Amino acid sequence: MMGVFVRELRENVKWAAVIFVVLLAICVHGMRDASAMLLYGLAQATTPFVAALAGLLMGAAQAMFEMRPDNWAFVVHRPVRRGRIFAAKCAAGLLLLYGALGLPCALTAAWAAWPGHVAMPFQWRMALPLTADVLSAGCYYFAGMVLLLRRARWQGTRLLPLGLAIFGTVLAYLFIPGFVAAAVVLVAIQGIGAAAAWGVFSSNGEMDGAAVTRGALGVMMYPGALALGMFILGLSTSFNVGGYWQYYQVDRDGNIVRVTETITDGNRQFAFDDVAGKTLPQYEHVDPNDPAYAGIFVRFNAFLVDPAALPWIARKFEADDYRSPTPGVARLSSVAPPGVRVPFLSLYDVPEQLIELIDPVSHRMLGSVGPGGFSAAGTAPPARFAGRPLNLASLARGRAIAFPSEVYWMELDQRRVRRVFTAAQDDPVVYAAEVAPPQNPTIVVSTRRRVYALRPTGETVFDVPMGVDPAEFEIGPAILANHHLLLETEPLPTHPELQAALWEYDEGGKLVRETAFPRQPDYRSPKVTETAMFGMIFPLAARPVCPMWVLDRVLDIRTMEFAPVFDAGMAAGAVLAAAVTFWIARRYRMGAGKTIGWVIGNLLLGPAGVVVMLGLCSGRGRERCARCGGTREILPAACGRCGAGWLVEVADGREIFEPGDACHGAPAGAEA
Amino acid sequence: MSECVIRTEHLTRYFGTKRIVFDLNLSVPRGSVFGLLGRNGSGKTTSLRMILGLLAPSWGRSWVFGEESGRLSPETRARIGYLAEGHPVYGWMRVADAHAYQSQFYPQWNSDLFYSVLKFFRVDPKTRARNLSRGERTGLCLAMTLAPEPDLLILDDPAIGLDPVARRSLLESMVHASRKADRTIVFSSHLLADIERMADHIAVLDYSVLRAQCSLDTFRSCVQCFVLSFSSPPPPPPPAVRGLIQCVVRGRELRLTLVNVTQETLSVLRRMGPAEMREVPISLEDAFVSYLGGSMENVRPEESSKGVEMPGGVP
Repeated sequence: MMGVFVRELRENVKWAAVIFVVLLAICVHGMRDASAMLLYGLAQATTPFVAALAGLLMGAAQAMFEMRPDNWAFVVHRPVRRGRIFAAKCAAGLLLLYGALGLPCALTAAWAAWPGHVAMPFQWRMALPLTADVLSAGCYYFAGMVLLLRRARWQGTRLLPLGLAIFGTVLAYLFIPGFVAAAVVLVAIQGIGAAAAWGVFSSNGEMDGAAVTRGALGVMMYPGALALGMFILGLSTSFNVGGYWQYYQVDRDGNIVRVTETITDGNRQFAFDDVAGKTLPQYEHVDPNDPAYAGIFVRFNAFLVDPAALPWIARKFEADDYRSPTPGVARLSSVAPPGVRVPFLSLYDVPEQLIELIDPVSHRMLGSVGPGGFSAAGTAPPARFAGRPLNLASLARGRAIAFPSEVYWMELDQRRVRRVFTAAQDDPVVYAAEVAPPQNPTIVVSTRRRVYALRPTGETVFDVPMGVDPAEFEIGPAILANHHLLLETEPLPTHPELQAALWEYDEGGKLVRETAFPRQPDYRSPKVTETAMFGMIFPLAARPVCPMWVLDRVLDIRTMEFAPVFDAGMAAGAVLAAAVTFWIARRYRMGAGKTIGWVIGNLLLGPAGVVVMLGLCSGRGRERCARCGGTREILPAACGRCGAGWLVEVADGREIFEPGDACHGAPAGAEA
Repeated sequence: MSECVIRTEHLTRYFGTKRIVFDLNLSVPRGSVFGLLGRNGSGKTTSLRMILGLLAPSWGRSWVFGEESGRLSPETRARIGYLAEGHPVYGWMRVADAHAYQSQFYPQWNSDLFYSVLKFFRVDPKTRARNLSRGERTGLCLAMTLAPEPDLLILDDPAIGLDPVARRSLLESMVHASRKADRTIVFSSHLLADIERMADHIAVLDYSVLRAQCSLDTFRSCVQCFVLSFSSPPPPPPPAVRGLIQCVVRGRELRLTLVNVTQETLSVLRRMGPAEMREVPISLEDAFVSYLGGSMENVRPEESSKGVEMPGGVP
């Protein structure tokens, strides 16, 4: 086994060198820019793609020789078990792959960690996205191996095993907030890939191996088949020349306006009406996308959420995950009054619980600001903040910085913060935000029970009871033209049964108006068709476990708004898939057990399951019957017309066989 | 008669709907030099791969040294030397590296034998495998196959693409290899001279079907050629002539090549009314060409003035 391992290392080190040089060149280019977001930038735009290509390259390079049956025979016909040859091969390939990718990433991280290189306090967790990307290369490595070794048509199902690697990477990249969870997913996908690759390697691509390896190949192919369906769906909708959308805006007086946008023959038209459906003539000829009309509708500065109320997967959308731009460090861009420039970069360092001021030229820390004021670099701060700020992702949008126990107003031009609010013990802060105008800002602070409007001096303008449970809504505050405070409450995706509403308070804190957003689905929308078509390819089995709001957000469809349409499409797709599966199973002459298994399986998996079935199974071929000339199956079934068995190859009189066998006796085991 | 090293039962392989090997029942005696003959695409390589457990059969089973082909243990594989078609080697390795790499897998590796075969083929151990000529490459592969001193040597078309000198070297190496007592050699080829020189047993595959398995002498004796002279243009042979594999018309003569000639066959020929009927000697090469090609030829009488070949009568 060591021999195979060393040979594979020697044989493929050139590919590892290519990968290493390419990635190192990209990293060095990034180092020359010395951006504070160096590692994030690499993980965002470079390493996922380089890792995928490198994995495919290494897997394909290692499988290239064995593509020819003679070469494969040369590799495996030796007194070593095929499993050990495969294990040694993979160990060498993965070692080279991870080394070639990991080394440039480690060098870049070490360079970024060196004081003065980037204007950002370094934390080792900043290297986690790069680590995950390096790990994801293994998924593509096995996919590359399977692509080359498996015997299938390139224009057929051959490329489908790539689907699982792409699915896993996208999952780890976009949806999984924690590094450990992402790493577990990537390793699990590599395990599945390894099983499938072993199946195709051990049988020289015939895929007639054990059920486990065939199952693993099916799992690899399924996301690919699903993606193929979505690609076809996307392609079909991309030819729509017209369009129809409806959405809501809030005007400067706090009224809800329903905007209907239609595109006909390239002409964009807008219609405006209120919640009762009455046309609003004052907005005639207004184009909401035109910057000239930017002021007629309210722009919410931030939508704030209670971090504790967010579902696990939604943390990804709140920049609270291992791939966030600055994990553990939040950039503060609005730290002084409008027009005042500060000669430093400001960051909130979560582990240090301080605001750090960095010299933009030397990239070194000038000092830190805490509740006790400024302290120069190298001196101990008199006090630190109370942990992690709330709504970390929104910090750059305003000067308010909130913690569960208190809220501060940043005046970093004077190198200080001002405490503007202290929460009661039993009523912690859930969020706080600065709302316009910048010259005369208001700070909106929400606790679990009350909403406060404050001046930057800390003076309370008013406080009112919170109208909704902050654990169920995200809230957007704004100040209207009449100086009224407007709160838009949007239910969190985990509470689709709740309704969005607008709350308007006057300067005395009196609730002037509470208006609910209408919740009537508009079945004239083209999204109805898209949602139904998506339902047709969506697996029935995923319906109970998949958070539909995630699909809506990611794929821009409306499974929640048009749930009956989506469900009808899904049911139709499932039934169709089951029917086609039954027909294929009959045609392939499958046994009853297999037929039932595939039919039930594809009822749950949908049309993509049918594609997987076609990739994994093959029917019995047909040929001409030697006796009657009719078409019959090639394997040992009787001819349907003449009843002849399959061994009806008639002797033609040329046969020359010596009497008896050329040797006597069957070898041991021959009778087994 | 001796114990058999390889045995197959109804071995059948389809690729999709294409039949490659059909109902192969083969027995290879220990110590024999066994030639597997057939035209291109007749299923020789596929049969050998199935026998070695490198390809799963669609139907049927096979055994090597008593172990089922699909489950050959490493110990049994160590007893089998296999030279695959195309003579695969790692091109980037030097010949000496290939020796070092290959030798670590085999408990009894004969380095002297390895280097003597290389010397025979004039292969420089410092050369990279990808820079070797076809003959040198064959020599390297043969050296790697022979050096473990296997009990069973399977050579898949070893002489393919070799010039006469290299082919002669290969044959001499095989002769050398066959000297070891009880060593069995199975080789596939469509070069009759190689078969005639080396093999004592042959099997003939004709378009996926095993048509003959016998000693070379038996084969020679079973294929006969008769010339029938007529006073007028000869009639076509009647379809009832069983075993007719080739029929050539030369003027007023009918030249028939037949297999398994019996008294009944001869009486059928006599009933055609020839003025004279005589058996003529036939070379092994002619016998093979007639045997493997006869049934496929379909030359119309007017196509040749020298002599025309008519479809073999396959009843």
